[in-house]
Amino acid sequence: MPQEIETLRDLVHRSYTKFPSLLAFQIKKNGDYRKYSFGKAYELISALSSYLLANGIKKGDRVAILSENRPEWGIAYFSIVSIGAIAVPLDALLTKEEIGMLLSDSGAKLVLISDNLQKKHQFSLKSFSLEEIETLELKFRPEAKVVPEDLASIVYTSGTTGNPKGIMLTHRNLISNVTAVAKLFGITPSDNFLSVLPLHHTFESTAGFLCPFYIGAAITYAESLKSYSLVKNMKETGVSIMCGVPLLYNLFLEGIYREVGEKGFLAQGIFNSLKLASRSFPSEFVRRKIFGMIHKKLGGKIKFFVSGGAAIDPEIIKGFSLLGIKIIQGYGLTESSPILACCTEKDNRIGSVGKPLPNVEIRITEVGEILAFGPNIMKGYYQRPDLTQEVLKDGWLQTGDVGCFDQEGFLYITGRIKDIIVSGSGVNVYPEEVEFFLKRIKGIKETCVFGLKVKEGIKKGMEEVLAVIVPDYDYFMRKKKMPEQQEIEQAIRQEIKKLNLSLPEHKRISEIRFRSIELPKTTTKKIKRFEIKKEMGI
Amino acid sequence: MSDLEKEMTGLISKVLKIPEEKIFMNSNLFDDLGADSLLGVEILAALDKKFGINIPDERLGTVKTVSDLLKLVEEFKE
Repeated sequence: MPQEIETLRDLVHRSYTKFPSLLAFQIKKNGDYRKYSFGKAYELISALSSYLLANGIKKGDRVAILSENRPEWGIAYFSIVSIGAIAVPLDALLTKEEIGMLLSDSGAKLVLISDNLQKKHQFSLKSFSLEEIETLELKFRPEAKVVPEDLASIVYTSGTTGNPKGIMLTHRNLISNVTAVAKLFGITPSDNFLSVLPLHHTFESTAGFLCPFYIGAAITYAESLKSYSLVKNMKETGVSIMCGVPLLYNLFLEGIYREVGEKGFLAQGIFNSLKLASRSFPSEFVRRKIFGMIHKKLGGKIKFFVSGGAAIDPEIIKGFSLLGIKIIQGYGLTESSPILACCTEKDNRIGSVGKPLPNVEIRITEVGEILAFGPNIMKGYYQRPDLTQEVLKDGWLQTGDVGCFDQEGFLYITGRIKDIIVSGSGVNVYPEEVEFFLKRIKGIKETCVFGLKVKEGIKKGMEEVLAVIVPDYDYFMRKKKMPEQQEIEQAIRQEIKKLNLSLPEHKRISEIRFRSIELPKTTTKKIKRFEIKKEMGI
Repeated sequence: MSDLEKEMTGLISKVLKIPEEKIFMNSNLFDDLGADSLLGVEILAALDKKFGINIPDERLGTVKTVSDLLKLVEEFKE
């Protein structure tokens, strides 16, 4: 049983003491894997921590990380939290303006940045290049007093409306989640995690980074997200666990089927017969034997894949299961560090998100909303006590999700109370955020944004952004005496197309529906979203 | 339509599962065809496989339309 730890500083020290020579991180560069043992990682963490201290970073200061997934991301994160400073991981895909806004909101004193992103954005804020970590000298062992209630990280979930939401997670929040998850799964130091999801995503940073580091398992950073490249990394390094989002697994399964299809009718016929045979053997062991060739191609060490971020189609789980690969689903929010419930290797039920973690309590309200309580629940939203009050009541987190338990205590998510759109990649899109941009377009009088389930293509069943638009006819009349409806719609579409170019892809409007009369509202002038949904058949 | 354009359209149609007739050279992969970065990377993967070229993931940032993709393939084929 792993010894008790209370802070991320303890976690780093414990792993260094227990596994100094084991592999902590690896990444393929120019054809070879660059490897970092726990011992080497600890030396680099200490060197960067002492650099931070020497450069005026104190306990409680915010330090941003802006980088692609790589070993230095983890080294930077641990260096910050080990001295009691607060890590602010940022999404590398955000625009310069969005990043600027988050840097300013968090009051970051320094940004630890990769050369690629520094070249792209040219920030004026004091920065340190991740490429230079290895050149740092350890001048002194950094000392710092860090306690469980100290903030470890501020994670931004939305940052472009002028109202960024920074979720404050303490050392206790993260440690409680990491240790609870680690106890549930049979993960050992011989495991190797493939890191695919961006590390600013709490799901990846807790389940795919902190957890393996705590256990003493290795983390391999994917060199590319192409499915054949993932397969190559898996085979070359013997990956056993991967955390992903539904679309990734969908593409992965498609890739396997496509490859078989390309080998001709005979191969496809044999594959289909094997799939049929596999149905008669519920044992994963037998299924692995039946599809031995596929497992060999994946390196032969796959234990399970974890899916989070958005609901996964049970058919994808079943598809992998027939091949002898288990996909485990979990559920959580960034506000809960993030895991609240998850299936396990032994207790896996397709369609359910599993049972609550042993240190988490989940209650379902009369209207079906999921409430959660536990040591992993955030401290609040950074500098937003108003928002914190709305979602944290007596320590219970109002998740905004609707769900139910079955008789055996497995949790099922059935919908959302809030109207958040969860894109296929698991990124949340807040309708108000997109509405905010749309309202700035001249010619749009009113708008209401929804999530729309995609009906065809590879993203079938996932959600995209749909905007209902009421044109500002007065505006168009001022421009031309009698504009045609078609002309008005065309002009608005053009403007939205321009807007889309400036938005990250998950926020882009993929469908527009026009309404010529005012949107229905309550007496307090709130838009009746439900009525519009019904009217538009959404 | 050139052979390369035809091959490209067929390949995008296969990855995105969209009928070929909905794909044009000026179609925006993300806005019009519903791709995202993960699907975009899969299109690059399919191109790599088809033409034996290795286009890095980060080059996706320079691609918007099918025609941009065509230029990228031509660049790497050289």
